[in-house]
Amino acid sequence: MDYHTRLAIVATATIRQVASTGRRLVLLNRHEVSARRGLIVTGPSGTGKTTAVTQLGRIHERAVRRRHPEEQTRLPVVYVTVPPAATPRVLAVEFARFLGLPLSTRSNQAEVTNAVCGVLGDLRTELVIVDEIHNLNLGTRTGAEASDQLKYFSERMSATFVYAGAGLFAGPRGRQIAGRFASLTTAPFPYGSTAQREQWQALVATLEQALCLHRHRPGDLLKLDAYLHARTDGMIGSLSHLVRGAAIEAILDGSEAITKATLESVRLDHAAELAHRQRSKTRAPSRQAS
Amino acid sequence: MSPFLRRLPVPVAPFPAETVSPYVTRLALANHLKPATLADYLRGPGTTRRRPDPGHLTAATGMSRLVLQQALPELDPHRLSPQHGCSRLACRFCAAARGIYSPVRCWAMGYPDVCLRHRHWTGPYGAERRGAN
Repeated sequence: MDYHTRLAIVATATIRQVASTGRRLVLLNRHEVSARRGLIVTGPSGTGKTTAVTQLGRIHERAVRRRHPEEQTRLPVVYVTVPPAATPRVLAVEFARFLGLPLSTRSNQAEVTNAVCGVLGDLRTELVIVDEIHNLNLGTRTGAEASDQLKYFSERMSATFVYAGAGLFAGPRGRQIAGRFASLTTAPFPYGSTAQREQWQALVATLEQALCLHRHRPGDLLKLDAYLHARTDGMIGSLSHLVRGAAIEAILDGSEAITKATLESVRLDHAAELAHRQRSKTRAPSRQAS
Repeated sequence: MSPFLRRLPVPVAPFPAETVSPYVTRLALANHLKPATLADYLRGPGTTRRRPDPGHLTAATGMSRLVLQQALPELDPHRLSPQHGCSRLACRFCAAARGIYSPVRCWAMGYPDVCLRHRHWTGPYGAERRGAN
């Protein structure tokens, strides 16, 4: 059951694109003194932004560890999440917390920033991933200062910065970010053309292959691809949640197979359920009319 | 090992028979921290002890308690013999061989003022020595 709580991460086109762009930027920035280029991954929630950036981090960390197995203390990748209403000090403390640096409550912003930048330099960090970047509200003074703090970090550290979250391109600070960051947008999987359907089916098939249920026949889930798309609105996060939830439900009730009834019993996030309900409503009158 | 403390990002190996306080200072500087901040952290909250808690030091350095006790005699009270009465500067060549380029204070053992390996005088010089005598 524990296996199904995680299941496999599918290497979608977005993940591959983020990984290749990120790796290329890390190499390009290696000898840059200032104005390093970064990457920003934007898109609606549930489209796999966090998964894509964490996979980029994992790929880079594994590549560095494979190349330099003797450097055990090296820390190639740092991952932090921007807390809500973050101030510059809170942002710096978030980095310190990731590193495990003990800081007293009396430590001021400059001390925390210096400690973080010094340690990251010593540990030869090459990639800094900042998630939930939309928590920085550039409309407020605190948010703007926190954004400036991130900019300062990117100047002090010889690392490539990758942001994940909603857009950050509003106002003068946004324009500065837009000038230095490549942007990749994640989107729900479409289900219109044959090629798009094949892509969705390949995703469902990969998830189905990862299932480990005694009485589940291969191909049963793939037959429900249209239903799965309608339920999840093409969101990979919702799809993963639905399939994992159904697999656990199948183990708990002893059926050991995923059916449409099992999938129906799993409640999804509000956005996906709302989209599914609206689509069902629009379809129902058209069926009655025909 | 204390389960609530995390390992420091930059580990520093202790010099044989090193005194604890300068070791904590070296550890703090390697991690870009104020020595007083790290010393407070290693002592633990709400305590009056002067030395760091061995459990906290084990968690923060990532080294086993046995290794730390062997290198830092102060952590093991049974190992402090009368000859540990005074500390001295360690031979800088011995320290450099371990990748340490700052002064290291350690407990005096055997010949306290000379490094036999490097034939190097480590004791006080000139007026400093006369004052000591």
